[in-house]
Amino acid sequence: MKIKDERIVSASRRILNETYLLVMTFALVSLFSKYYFLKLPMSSYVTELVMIGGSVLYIIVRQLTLGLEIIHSTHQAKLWWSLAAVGLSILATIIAGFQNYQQYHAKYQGVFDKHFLMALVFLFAANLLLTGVIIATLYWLNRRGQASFERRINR
Amino acid sequence: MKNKRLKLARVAADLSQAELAEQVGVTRQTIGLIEAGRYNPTLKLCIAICQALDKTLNDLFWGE
Repeated sequence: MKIKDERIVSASRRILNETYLLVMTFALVSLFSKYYFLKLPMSSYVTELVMIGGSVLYIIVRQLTLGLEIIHSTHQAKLWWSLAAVGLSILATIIAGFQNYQQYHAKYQGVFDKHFLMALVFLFAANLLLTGVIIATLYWLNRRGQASFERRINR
Repeated sequence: MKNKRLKLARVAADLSQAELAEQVGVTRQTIGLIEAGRYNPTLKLCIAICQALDKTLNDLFWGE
């Protein structure tokens, strides 16, 4: 009876997993540096965007096809995802708000200028809406994936 | 925890670690690590080892 050495397969997978995390970390740092510090055009960091976006999409599709739950339907999980959406929106608002102020500070009368505060509120609402739509789509896809997996098991 | 039962069964079957590894399709190091209690094999590998040594799972891996 010939079987592949599971210990080596498992160790190789662990190494690949760590390598993926390292590459993604470098890609994120590179993307952030090019966008935020170096202020380079999008064409210079499109590779990183495709890498990160593509791999995230691939992970989601693979998890759905294998019947793994991306978002659990428990109350605690829903609360966690809601907090994550608010947290991500706040982070995105801080980054965009900082850039906005650097670019248009001459037009504002200080940080508490009502136009700047309005811009921040608008940015936060837009970010929250976008994050909410993404999470709701993931939740819907997750429910569909789970239902399809259940049908496959019952068959 | 060392798996002395596996080592004894292998020696009783007059097999070296390398020979048992060859029969079950793993490396010698994996058998060595299982005997030393430093690797927890899957059920699939446990069954393959039992078949190679003509033992049951209870004899080698379960029950004490």
